[in-house]
Parts: sequence; C-alpha cells; structure tokens
Amino acid sequence: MFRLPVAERPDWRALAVQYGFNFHTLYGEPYWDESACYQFSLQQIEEQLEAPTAEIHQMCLEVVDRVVRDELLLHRCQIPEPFWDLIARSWYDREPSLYSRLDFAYGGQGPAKLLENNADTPTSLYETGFWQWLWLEQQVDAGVLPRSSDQFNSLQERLIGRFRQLKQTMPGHDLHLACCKGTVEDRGTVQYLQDCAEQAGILTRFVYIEDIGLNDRQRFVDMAGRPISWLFKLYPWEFMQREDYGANVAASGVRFLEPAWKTVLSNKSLLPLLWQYFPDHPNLLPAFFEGDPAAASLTHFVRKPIYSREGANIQIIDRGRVVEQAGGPYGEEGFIVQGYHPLPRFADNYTLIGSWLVNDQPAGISVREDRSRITQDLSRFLPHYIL
Amino acid sequence: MKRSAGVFLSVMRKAPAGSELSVLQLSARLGLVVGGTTVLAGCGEQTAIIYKTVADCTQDNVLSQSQCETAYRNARSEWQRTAPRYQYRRDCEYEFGEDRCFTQQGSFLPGRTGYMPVMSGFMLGSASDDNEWDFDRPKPLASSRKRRSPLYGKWVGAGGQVFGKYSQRRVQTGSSAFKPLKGSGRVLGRGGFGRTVSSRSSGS
Repeated sequence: MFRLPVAERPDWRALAVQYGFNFHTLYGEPYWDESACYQFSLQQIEEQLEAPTAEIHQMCLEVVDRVVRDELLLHRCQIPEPFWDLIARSWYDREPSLYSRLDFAYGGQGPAKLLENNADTPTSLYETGFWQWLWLEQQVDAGVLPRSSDQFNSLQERLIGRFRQLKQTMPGHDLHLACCKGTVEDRGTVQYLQDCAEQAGILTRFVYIEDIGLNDRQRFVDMAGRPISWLFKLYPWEFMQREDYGANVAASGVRFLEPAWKTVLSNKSLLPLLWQYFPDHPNLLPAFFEGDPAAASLTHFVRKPIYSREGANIQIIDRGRVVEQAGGPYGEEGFIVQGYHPLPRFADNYTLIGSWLVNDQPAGISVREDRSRITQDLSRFLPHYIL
Repeated sequence: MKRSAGVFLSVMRKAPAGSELSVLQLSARLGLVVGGTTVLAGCGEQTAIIYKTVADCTQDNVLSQSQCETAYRNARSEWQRTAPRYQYRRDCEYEFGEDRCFTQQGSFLPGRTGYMPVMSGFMLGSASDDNEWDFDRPKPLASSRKRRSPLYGKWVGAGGQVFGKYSQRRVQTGSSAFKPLKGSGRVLGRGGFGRTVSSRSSGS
C-alpha cells in the first residue's frame, strides 16, 4: 500500500459538472483530491480487506440476533423501548438491507482493525461507486496508470443488482428516497441511489425528510400527498425514533431501507458487544462500555458516544489525559471506550479505509485522509488502484 | 476484475458534454413546449378498472396479489366510513335490493341499529407511473339489484355517483372520482421528521 502523487485529469472539474458531482469541494476545501492516489496489491485487497469485511459483517449480524432478543442489551444500546418490537420484527422477518460501510485502520501491513460500522446512513457512496471508477478508467486510457490496473469497486454493479432483487420483493411499488434539506452531499448520495434503482427498473420519487407528511390513514405521504410504501431514508433511525413521527412508524406500513434492525448496528454499543462475543479477533480492537470494570485495562483509548456521526464528540485519552478531541452535540446516551489504534500516516495524512458491503457482499473500498487523527466531515477522498 | 464492468456513462451523465444548456434544451428537458400548443386528451378523464373480488384483481395483476388484498381491505374500511346509511332496512333495500344491506350498530343514530348497503366491488384509477393501476386509492362501490331504483344495474360510489353499468369492468371517470370523501386520506401535517438535523449532513 503506497501513496503516490499522480497527474490530475485536466478536465475533471468540467466532467464533474457533466456528471452532476456537485460536492467535490466542501466548505471551500477540496473534498475530492486526485493529486495523489493509493496503490494496493491484490493480496492486500482480497486477504486483508475483502475477507475480513465479509466476516465482520456476519459477526455484526450475530450481535443483532442477540440484542433483539435481550431486553438488557436493548437497554444498554439505548434503544427506546417503544421500538423494540418494531426492530425485532424487522429482524425476524429478515427485512432486506441495501448497504453499509465498515471503517478500518489499515496501512498495508497486519490485520485491518475495525473502527466502526456505518450501517444505517453511510455516505461517500457516489464518489466511491462511480466517480473513482471513472477516474481509473480515464487514467488508464490516458496512459497515466498501467493497463493492468484494477480497482476494488464493484459497488455500482452490486447496488443495481441488489435493487433488482429488492424490486421482486416490492412488486408494483415505487421507491421514495429521502434526505435532509440543505446538504448537497446527502442529496448527491440519494440521487446516485435513485440512478441505480432506476437502472434496476424501479420507479423512484424524491422527498425531503422534513417534507414527509402524515395523512389521516396513518400513512406517510410525499409532497404530492401520495402515500409512501417503500422508503430509502438517508436519515438515522436513532433520530427518527426520537422525533414526532417516530410513534407513527409502526402503523405506517412502510418498508424501510435501511431496515429498522440496522438501529443495532449503527450504534457504538456494537463495538463492546463484538469484543465480548468474539474476544481477541484479529480485526477487532478491545472495546467496553464506559464504566465496565474491564475498561480499566485500557490506558490509551478512544472514547466515543453511543450515538454520534462524522467523528463528533470523540476523545482520544492517554493515561488519563485527553490528547485530542472533537466537539459536537452527542453523548447524552452514554459512551463506549475502544483501545487506541493509530491510523496509518501517509505523507502528512491520517488515512482511513471505508470498506463497503451491498447486502452481505463486500463491494469495494474508499480511502479518506484527514490532517487530524479523528476523521471528520472535512476529510478528503482519494482514489485508489490495484496493481 | 474487482471493479464494475457495466457502468453506462450515458445514464450517469446529468448534463450534455461540453456546453451549457441552451434555453431550447432546457425547455425540452422540462417538457415545455416552445412555439406550439399541446392538446390534452380528455382533460381530467381517466380509465379506471372495477374488480368485484380480490381474486378478480389478482387475475389481472398477477404480480400484485398483496396489493390487491390491501386495496380490497382499504376499500372495505373506506366503505365502513363513507357508505350511505339508513335508519330503516326498508329504505336501504328500496335503493339497493333485498339482502343487499347489512346492519351496523350506531351507523345512523348513536346507540341504534342502522343499515348500509354492502360493498360489491372496488375501483382503481390509472396510475401516474409505470404501474397500470393506482392501488393506493381504491374506491369502494356498491351495486343495486332493485329494478325500480335509478341505480339498478349500475356501479355506485359512497357519495351516490354512478360509474357505469354493473357489467362493465373498465369505465371512464373524472379524476375527482378518487378524491377522498369525508376528509379521508387528508394530509394532517408535515415536518414530524428532521428536527434533530436541519442543515448538516446526517450521513456518516
């Protein structure tokens, strides 16, 4: 695994306009960065990222299976009691999932270490599945990368394939897709999923989360008043469950993507539970609920809120001293601690691997860099290739 | 190969290569007609289909059995809410025929037995999309077997509108036929989601 400077495609900004990639620059900073790229070997990809991704996903499903049957665990995960039935039912009914992203610390040697699972609302999907794919094709065509270059990225193909399967389970239903207002990045992610679903022959309709309404038959409706029967929501379950319409979810009859059982996986409680059920697994870091006496075994650790996003409210603590932290609005539900494992450094950057799954199949990776040890929403996305 | 093989660039392209959209192109994309007029066929008219039973519906829509069932159930409960009510059995039967009415406690006067005609079919409008029929808004219908009644041999809605002969399956109707009666299907409010995050990304 190397980081290499590489010539940018001279016209990539114009291409971005053509393809509707509207968020390559965020908050005035570059987000898509093709001035460099990462090179992997096929063995690194297949043995150290792809295989562990599939395995950890299965382990995560095992955790879901235990949590939904156990009130004590549901309490520990801070899942609101009115949703226990809904979540358990969605699990027992095997409600299908679409995708997720596992984040790993991996620098080319030794086992990749799982940092967290973004199972409910993962983003950076378009730039992974399509935009970095296009980069590779064009850089090979331009002779900048060798002909034999490949990329671990079957994301788009698998998403379309998955939508084809899902269509069979919802015959005749349109798919509504929703995200919040005011974020071009989320809208871009949802547009990409719309494109993939349409290519699978599904009719899609977009609605903003804030615009979803409720009619007097207890059904959620879009702006035109059309009832929603199948909804992809780029909006976390833990928020929905605590908002006004949360109480209406069960009676709404909506089939959700991601399904309600993903509440268990998008929750940092997953990390101590994985460690408890699969102790000393090579791809796991020791993790405990804060306050667990066993947590005292960690001297250098990361403290994460049970619910948080984009690295918010995370602290790195070394022998009782906070050495780095990120602010944010989370933490009222409690914390977990996870053994500190440094992100690999390439040039001046801390590098994080996002490993994607479509349903339960590994589907590719994304590489993000940050100047800080806590990867946040100002990190940059760099393309990769396999040689 | 570890990457997608069949990515269709033309499908992924959101704007034509190399140029800003011209006004004409933009108009075309928005479906505007430049320098011409359009004639809408039968303004507001649409074809609707009437099914007498779920099986009837499933036979036509093989892939949509559960939707047929849901549509039937929803039509039933809509009928319970909106069907015409009578204080006396004879009044109901005068309009709809013998054995075409059932009793419903409190349907006419609170605490008293009232009478309503039975639902004998449900009507689905044309869908605005790929689905042929709009299963989401079934319209419950009754039919009359009383020869003297002006409704005899016809499909009739809860509001008394006639939708064609009982022998017909496909009927032409205005879109207002599917407007909910008595406020059913009314949007009660919006904005119950999205409070936690208003402007920052909720992805991760």
